[in-house]
Amino acid sequence: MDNNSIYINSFSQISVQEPLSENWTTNPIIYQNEKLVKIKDPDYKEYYPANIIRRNGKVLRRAMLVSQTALKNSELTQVDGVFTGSGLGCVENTEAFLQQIVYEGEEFLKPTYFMQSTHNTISSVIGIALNCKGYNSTYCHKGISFESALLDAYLQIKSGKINSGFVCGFDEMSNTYFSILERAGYLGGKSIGFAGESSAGCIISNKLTNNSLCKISSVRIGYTQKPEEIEKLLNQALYDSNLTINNIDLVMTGINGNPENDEAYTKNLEYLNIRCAKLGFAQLFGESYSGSVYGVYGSALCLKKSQVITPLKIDNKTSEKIENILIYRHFRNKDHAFIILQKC
Amino acid sequence: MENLIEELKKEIIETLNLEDINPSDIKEDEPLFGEGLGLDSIDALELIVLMEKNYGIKLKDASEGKAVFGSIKIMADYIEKNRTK
Repeated sequence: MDNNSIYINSFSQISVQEPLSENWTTNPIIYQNEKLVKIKDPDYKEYYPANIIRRNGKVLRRAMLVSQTALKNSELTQVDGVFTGSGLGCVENTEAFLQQIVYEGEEFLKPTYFMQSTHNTISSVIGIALNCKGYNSTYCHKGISFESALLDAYLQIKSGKINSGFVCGFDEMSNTYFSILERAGYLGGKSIGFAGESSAGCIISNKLTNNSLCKISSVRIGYTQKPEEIEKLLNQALYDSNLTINNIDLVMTGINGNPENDEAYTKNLEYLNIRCAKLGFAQLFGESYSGSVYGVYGSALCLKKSQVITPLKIDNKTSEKIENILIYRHFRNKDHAFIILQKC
Repeated sequence: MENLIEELKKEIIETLNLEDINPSDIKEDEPLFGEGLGLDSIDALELIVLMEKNYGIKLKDASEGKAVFGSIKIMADYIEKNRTK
């Protein structure tokens, strides 16, 4: 075992696919005409008593179950930190709270909406669910929220501050917020893909276990519109991983059916000379600010299974071996993130 | 008084998001906190807002609330005597 390596020990998801299951890898639910698809929630009564369910809003129930399931599957009993990426936090409660202010004034506001309307409520609830009294932080950086959370956890483990962490992405997509994004031309409208929600997370640590899915060899984030700067970022990620671009077997992208978004991927991948088979997560899980958590999840599963998970494919190229996967996410072609996962 | 008790039960179920509980499940003399419905301190805050919003009653201190929220019957009785709307 390489003592300086960081592993993804387990993953758990609740999504627009069958929740808490890997059935989507062989039998995915296909969404063709929908513009907005909400998560398929499991019956939380099977997992929690009624008072816990009613005390926590939708995204918080998801956070509790996903985090506890991931920990259970990880062969670890405790994590040292919680790292949450969320572009919108508990946006449904935030909206309800603001609507109350608008329509009923500030005098009779519901305490529950107030308490559950902050972005970092999700991470706090996860801390309680995992009995983790250590580091707890939330990153709200729109399309690179999850990557930012992962970078923090990665660096803290790498520098020896902690040994393990739960890293996750959670976002609700309310009808109101979707309509704003649609009007702005980011989702819906002429886009082929659909908007979704995100609720997934992984346990990462410096401990290799039988359940470990893969190794994380680099996480790099940058803000730039210059192609040469993007290339520099990629080269840093490759250097961290002791790889060249020719060693990359698959690239997981955030191609989501929005013409402007996808065109930037095409141009940047061409410039970066990335010609291997492309994968995508948005055609299965939908687009949301922290939706790339499903990209990391899908890539990690490909490495664990040593095969391309067919529903993730977005072109006809093949790959002889699956040992190194590059995950490239850009947000409006300004924020760029590269993650490299390797077989362990 | 009977009508007020029924009205209160429905309002409490809605405000506190008491899924799977019907008005008939809430016994008039049963404690609302601890045993009975098993409400907690956040529910108490919700009930204080409910009293003020729907009946114009402003509870000034927490100890007053503890007595007022003893049961649905006590709560209805207090509202009947102190309501301003």
